[in-house]
Amino acid sequence: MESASIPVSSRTAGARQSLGNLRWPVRVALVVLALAAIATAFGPLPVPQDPNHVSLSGVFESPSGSHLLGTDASGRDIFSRLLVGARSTLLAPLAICLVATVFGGLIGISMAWRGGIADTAASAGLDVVFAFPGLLAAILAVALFGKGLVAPSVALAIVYLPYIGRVVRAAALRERNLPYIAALTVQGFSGRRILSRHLGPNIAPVLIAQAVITFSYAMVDLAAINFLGLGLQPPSSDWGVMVASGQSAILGGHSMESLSAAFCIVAVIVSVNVLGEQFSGRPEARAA
Amino acid sequence: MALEASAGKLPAPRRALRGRVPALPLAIGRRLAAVLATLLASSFIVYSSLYLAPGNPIKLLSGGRPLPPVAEARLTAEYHLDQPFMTRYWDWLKDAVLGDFGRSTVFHQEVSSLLSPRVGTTLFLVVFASLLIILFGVGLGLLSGLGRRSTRTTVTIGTAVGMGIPSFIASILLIALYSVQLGWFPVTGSGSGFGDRLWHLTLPAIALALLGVAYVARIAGVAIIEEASQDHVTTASARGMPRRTIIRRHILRNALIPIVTVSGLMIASLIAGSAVVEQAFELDGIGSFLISSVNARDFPVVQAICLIIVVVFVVVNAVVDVLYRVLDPRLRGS
Repeated sequence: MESASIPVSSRTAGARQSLGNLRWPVRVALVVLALAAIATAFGPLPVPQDPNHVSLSGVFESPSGSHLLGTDASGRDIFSRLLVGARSTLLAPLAICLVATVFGGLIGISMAWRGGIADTAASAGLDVVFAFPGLLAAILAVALFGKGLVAPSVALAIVYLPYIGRVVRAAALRERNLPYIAALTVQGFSGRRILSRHLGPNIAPVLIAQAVITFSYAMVDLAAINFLGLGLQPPSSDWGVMVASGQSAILGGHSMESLSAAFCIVAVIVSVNVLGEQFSGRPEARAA
Repeated sequence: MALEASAGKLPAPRRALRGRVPALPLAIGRRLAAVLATLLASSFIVYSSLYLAPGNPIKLLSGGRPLPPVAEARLTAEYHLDQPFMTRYWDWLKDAVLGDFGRSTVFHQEVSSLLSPRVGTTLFLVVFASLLIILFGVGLGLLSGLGRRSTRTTVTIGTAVGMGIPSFIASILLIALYSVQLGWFPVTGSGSGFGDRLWHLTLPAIALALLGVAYVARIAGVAIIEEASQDHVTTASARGMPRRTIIRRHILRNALIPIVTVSGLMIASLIAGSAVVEQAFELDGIGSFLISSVNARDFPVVQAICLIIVVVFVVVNAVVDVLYRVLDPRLRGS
C-alpha cells in the first residue's frame, strides 16, 4: 500500500488534458458550491416554510408555488428541509477534513524532517490505520460510543489522517532533498523557519489537493452512516437521513424526497471532485 | 550522488543479472511479514476497542441492560473477563483464526454459525461487482483512451458524474427506476439458486460497482492516452508496426500497471461498502448483519465482522501490491 501511488503518480499530465480543455464543468462546480455554501451559512434563515411543520392533510404534494419541491410523507416542505439540512451534511465533513489535514500535515512534515526511527515508527502506525476502511471505522465507532455525528466523525478524521500524512511526507521528502533547503540550513536558518516559510508553502498545493479529496470522501462516508441510521436520527433533515427516510415512499411512487436529497449530495460531491482535479490534475489521487 | 553512480557503474550489469532472480521473492517475503504485522496490530485494535468504550465490558456485552449478579458472573466466565487482558486477546485471536468468534450476546448462538449462511450473499455480491468493475471499467477506459475525441469527452463526463454517486444513492436510483417504475428487477431479497441469485443481486452489484467502474474507466483512459503519446509508440508506428500490435505490446502493457492498481484498490473497498448496499436492498449478507448487530449492540458479532473485513481489505491490498511488482520490473525488489 505504501508504494501504491508510485506507478500512477507519474501519469498526471493526461488527467489535466482530459478535463482541462473543458471549461464549463469548473464553472458549474463553482456555482454549485457557492449555492451550497450559502445554504450552509444562511440555511435556517430564509427557509420559505417551517422544515418540521407536519401537515397530514398535505402529504406527498406535487411541487408548487408554496412548496417548490413538494412535500414528504408527513407533509413537510422538502425544499426547506434540504436548505436546513445543508448544515450538518456539509459542515461535519468539513470539520473532519480540517482535523485530518492539520494533524496529517503536521505528522507528515515532522516524519519527513526528522527521519530515522521516528519516521519508521510513525509509518508503521499509519500502516495499521490504513487497514481500516473509512466506513468500517465509522461503524465500529458507532458500535462503541453510540449513534450520532460525533463518534463516526472522530473515527473518519483518524482514518483519513494517514492519507494526508503519507502524501505530505512524500512531498516534504522531495522538497527536503532539494538544494535550497541545504542552502538555507548552511546559512543558519532555524528548522522551524525553514519549515514555515519555505518548505511549508511549497508543499501547500499537494496538501490542499489531498484535503479536497478528503472532504469528498468524508462526505460520502458520513452520508452513508446517516443513511444507515447510525448517525443523525429523524426528524433531522440531513441529506443522508432524507434519502433513507424517503426510501419507503419510493415503493409507493413518491420519490421526490429521496431523489432531491440524493441529487444535492451528488451535485456537491461531483463539484468538489471537479475542483479537486483542477487543483491536482490527478483523479487517481483519490483512489490511492 | 553522481560520483557514487559512476563508481558503481562497472560491476552493475553483472550484479543486476544475479540480483534479479531473488529480488521479487524477497520483496514478496518482506511484504508478507509487513502484512502479518499489520493484521496482528489491527486485530488488537478490533479486540481492544471493546475496552475503549465508556462503561465496563459487561455493560457493553449485555447491551447496557442491568444484569443480576448470576448472569454477570456467567458473562464474566464466558468471555474470560477475569483473565489478564493480553491472555484474553491471545485466546480470542487463536480462536478467531480457527473460525471460532465466540457467542452472540443477542442470539445466544455461535457467531460462526450466524455468519456462515450470510457469507455467501456478500461474497456473491462482491465478486459480481468486482467482475463488473474489471469488465466495464477497463472497457470504458479502452473506449475513451483509444476512441474518438467525442467518445472520450462523453466518457470523461460520465465518469466524473459516476465518481460522485455514492453506492447508497446508486441503490436508491436503481430501485426507483428499475424495480418500481419499470418492474424489471426484484426490489429486495437475495434469491435462492444461482440464476435467481444472479437476478436478485444484479441491481445491488451495479450499485456497488458504479464508483469503481467510474474510477477504473477514468484512470484506464488517462493511462492509455498517456502511453500512446510516448516516444516509443511513435517509433514503433514509424517502423511500420501494425496498429493492433502497437496497442497490445506498447500501449496496453504499460497502461496495465495503473489499471491493475486502481482496480485492486476499488475491489478492496467493496467489502466494507457492501454493508450499505445490502442495507439498501435488504439483503441478508454479513454487511447488513454488521449494521443490525451494531443496532442490537451485539458486540462479539461486530468484532467478528470487523475482523473479517479488515483481513480481506489488507490481504487484497497486499495482493495488488505484489501484482504490480510482477507487472512492473522497475519496482521489483524495491
